[in-house]
Amino acid sequence: MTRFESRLDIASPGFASNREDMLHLIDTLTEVRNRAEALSEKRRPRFAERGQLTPRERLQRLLDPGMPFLELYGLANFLVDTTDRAASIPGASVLAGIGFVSGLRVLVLVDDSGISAGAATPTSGEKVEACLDVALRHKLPFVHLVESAGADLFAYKVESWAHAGGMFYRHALLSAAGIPTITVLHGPATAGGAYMPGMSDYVIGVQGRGRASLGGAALVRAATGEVSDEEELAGTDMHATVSGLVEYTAENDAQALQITRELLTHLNWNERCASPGARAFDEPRYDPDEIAGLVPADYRKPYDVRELIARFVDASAFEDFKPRYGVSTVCVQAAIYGNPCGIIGNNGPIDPDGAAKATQFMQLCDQAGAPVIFLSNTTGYMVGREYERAGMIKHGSKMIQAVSNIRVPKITLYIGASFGAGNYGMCGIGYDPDFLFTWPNATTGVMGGEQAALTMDQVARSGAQRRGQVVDEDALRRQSEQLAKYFNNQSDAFYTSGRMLDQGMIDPRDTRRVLGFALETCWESRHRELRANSFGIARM
Amino acid sequence: MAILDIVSEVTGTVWRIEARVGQQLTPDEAVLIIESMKMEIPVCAPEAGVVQEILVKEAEIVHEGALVARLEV
Repeated sequence: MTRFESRLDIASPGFASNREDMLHLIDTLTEVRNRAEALSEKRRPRFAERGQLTPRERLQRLLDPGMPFLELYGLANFLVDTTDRAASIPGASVLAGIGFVSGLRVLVLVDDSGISAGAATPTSGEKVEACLDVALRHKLPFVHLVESAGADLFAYKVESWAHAGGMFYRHALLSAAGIPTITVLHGPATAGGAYMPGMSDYVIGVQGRGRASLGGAALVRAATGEVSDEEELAGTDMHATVSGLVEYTAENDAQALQITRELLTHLNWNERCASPGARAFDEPRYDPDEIAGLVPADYRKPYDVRELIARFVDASAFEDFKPRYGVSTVCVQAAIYGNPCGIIGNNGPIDPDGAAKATQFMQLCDQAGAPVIFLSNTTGYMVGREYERAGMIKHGSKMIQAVSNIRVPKITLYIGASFGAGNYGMCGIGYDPDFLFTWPNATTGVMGGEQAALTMDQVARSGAQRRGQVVDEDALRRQSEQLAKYFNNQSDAFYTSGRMLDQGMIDPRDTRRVLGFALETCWESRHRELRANSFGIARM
Repeated sequence: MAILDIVSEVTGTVWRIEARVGQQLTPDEAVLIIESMKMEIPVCAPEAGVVQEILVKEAEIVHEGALVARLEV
């Protein structure tokens, strides 16, 4: 590998001002992220009173200490619950991520029952389904720590209910694929939620707290007039002794989590996965912390993406593929924690040569079996006469075709602008990347707000001219301002992440760790053999 | 002494001229900035030299490959 020699001046005023902007955005991310935990923590006395662990304590007890945990969809539902940026709560009342339990890489979901008793938000179903999809794709045992009041009937939406069926459909697929699903009943699982334990291969119930019923006592009374006691209707003991829904009973939360950890050791899970073997690597020679000062918060200011790559790849070394051809599209071969990969980045808009180069590079990565990392930062494919004549549509389309069809893992990071078809060519959400994370400075959309405003301004002016009318400058200026604001609000990374258009927002300085974890997850899933069946596990 | 042609690598509008005739530039110092595809793309001196001539004006459209300045190196 060729060592990259940085030309970044970390003593420059530009570096200092970029760093200040980026750290401000990271502070915003931290503040927003902490809101869900702070809200949930308010219920700590209630958990303590009932002898329960809080949702975050449950997660901590389940996971292997000191091992990495990659949170997924941490900002889900942000700005969906309310448009007030200062008040919106992220997370959709579910904690989710990939971590290690008893040495196995698993997907963990925890109902955040400290927030509205774990009642589903408008985005919760989508988040759970997206996590089930990750488990299926990456062959990860699925562990769900359940305690949910169910859906909020006052916020009922027929489409949410209809689509929520997809949760149980995915559970069925996992079981049939040979991927174990485990539910721990820490509290109630009512109505639709009861199918979480029902569909799982294994259920662990906490005595006195874990409950599952198709209708809670209130609904039963409304439906049949029968007056029932929650415990005899839905309790762990009833399910362990009478209905047969619960396999293992625990006296409390901690014991239930201990049983789950034990259970995972009985799966022989890593017997059918090759070991990656020892991979030698050197840490980057340039400090990843410098990433914060390297990237201008304003996407209009270009920078050499190689400076970024040098701060997260092994030894800050890589092979620059065709550096003098299609120069604004950068393709390099490198390694992260010893995992070889191809990386595509943008030093500007993608022109026909850049698109052709990226296409060839992706096909070569596919040939070599090397995952491709997309550092999406492009204002799009070039427009204009000479670019159309040079085959911009043709080359851009074939780049999009390559992105769609390569068989190797695809990992995307939104690190700046991700506009128009440039988002597609750089493996946006529509192109089914294995992992997709965003930096807090990213901006995603069909075009920038100012561009949209200018386009509509020109349409209005030429229309008025054609009709022989005089344009109302004031009205036009107001329209432009409104349109720019409308566009910019939606392209903001916090907004898009809240709508789950990525799998979460990360601190740019954690890029190496996140990519390394994602690459290892992909490696494992590609080397794991499953004992699939056609039916899924039955519970008699 | 040799004269080096500086060309724009992209089609766009000259947004700002950064250097003046007679100015000594270091390698990679911007001569001018082209606005294209919502980005401010600098056209830089490939090596150290003195600006001999600037052939475009601000707000002028330039095409890819167009000669925009000459540098004496």
